[in-house]
Amino acid sequence: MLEVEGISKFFGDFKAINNLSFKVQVGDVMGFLGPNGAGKTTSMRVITGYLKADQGRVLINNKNIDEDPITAKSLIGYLPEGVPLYLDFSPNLYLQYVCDVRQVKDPKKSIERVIKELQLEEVKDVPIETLSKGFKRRVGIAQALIHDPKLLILDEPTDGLDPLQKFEVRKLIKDLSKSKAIIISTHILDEVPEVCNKCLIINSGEKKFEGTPTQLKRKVGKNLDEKFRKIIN
Amino acid sequence: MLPLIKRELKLFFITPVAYIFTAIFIMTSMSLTFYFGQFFESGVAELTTFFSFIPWVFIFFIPAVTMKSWSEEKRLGTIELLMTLPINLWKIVLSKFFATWIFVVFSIILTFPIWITVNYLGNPDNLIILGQYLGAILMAGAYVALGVFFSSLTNNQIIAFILSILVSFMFTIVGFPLLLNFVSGLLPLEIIELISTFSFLTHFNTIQTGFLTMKGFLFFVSFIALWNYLTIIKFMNRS
Repeated sequence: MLEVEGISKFFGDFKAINNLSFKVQVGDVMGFLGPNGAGKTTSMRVITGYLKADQGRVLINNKNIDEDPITAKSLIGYLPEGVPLYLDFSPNLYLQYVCDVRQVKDPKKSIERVIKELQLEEVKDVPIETLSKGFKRRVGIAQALIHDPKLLILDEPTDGLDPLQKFEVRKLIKDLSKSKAIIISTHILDEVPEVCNKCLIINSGEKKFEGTPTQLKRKVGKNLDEKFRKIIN
Repeated sequence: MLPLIKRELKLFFITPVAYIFTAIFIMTSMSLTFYFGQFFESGVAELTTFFSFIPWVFIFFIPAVTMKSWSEEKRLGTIELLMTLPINLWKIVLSKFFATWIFVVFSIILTFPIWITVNYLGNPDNLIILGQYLGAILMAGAYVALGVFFSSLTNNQIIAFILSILVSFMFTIVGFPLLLNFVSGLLPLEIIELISTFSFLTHFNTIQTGFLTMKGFLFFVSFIALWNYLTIIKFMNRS
């Protein structure tokens, strides 16, 4: 589904990503880990076509994001870092717009579906500005899901959610993984074995570890945080 | 492209800001016409005084409308969602331009009571007035295209606002008779003519007589195209 082949990205002299390659198939949930500033968000921006890679290429369903951006982008659902949303809109109005602009076939049904999946019923007509952090994040996830994308890229989907909401979102991600390829970035290491069947750790833009959560567990010690620190250093 | 324009317009009208803007625009253009333009005292049934103030109102009003178009998307980060939509970049850029232009046109149209007034008071040449309105709308498009470009350069609305005012002012003033007379002794006539062909006022003045000349039309259309093109180039170099 997604093939990332040796992408590099420079900001002036600063190497944000250095020769990063990996693959994600339908059915995979890949946990994307790394300390702050490791290049996770930049990688996601390159994959979604927001930024252009200086080297390497990104293939989505064998479509190059730079050469055929329209087809490639239509396959992606994306929740950017910090959950940007049009704050004056209500979730309902906002989702309607996303349906329009993405030419979703049955907008009404799709909106009903995501509102149910993300439990937005009670706030669907309230301006997004007035919503709590957790609700905002769920609206962000809803807009990424509405066109039923084959590739789902979520930058910290559970950040700011309460434990119950976290549980719900993780469950949703697991359910979705049957028909989609999913990448989630996270700071919370415990989340990885729970939802992911693959994980990738990067630091300073370089791949430090790639494997399954079980492999990660086996590789070093007992405590996930400790392993993380070891791999990073 | 249509859903994008629709969203922009909805965002305009969902808050009271749009209505306040429109009200201020109408109030400013009207008070200039009535107090400084001596609309009644002139005793002539025409809207030339009204339209002679329009460029000066546009210089402030339009940058105030365009300043947030891209800056706000950048500040909120929604630009990331916009740019990752499966839509061509030029369509995204043009949709912003058209939405803002439509809003400005809406404000211009709402000045129609003054048109009714002159018709009530006398017998103006309505074809001329129609031409003047079309000219003003076209010129507004040029100011909008310029303002939207400057908004794309920064995530700070105030900077976008001030830059747009400055550049709009320059393009307006280069044809101002006072300025042209001032430099006429310093520069060769050909250069002065060249400079004044880039001026909004020169083209708008010909339009003001009610004849939307081909030259004026082409000038404003190419001006709009140029600034939109610059905005597209700006976003093509996303890095």
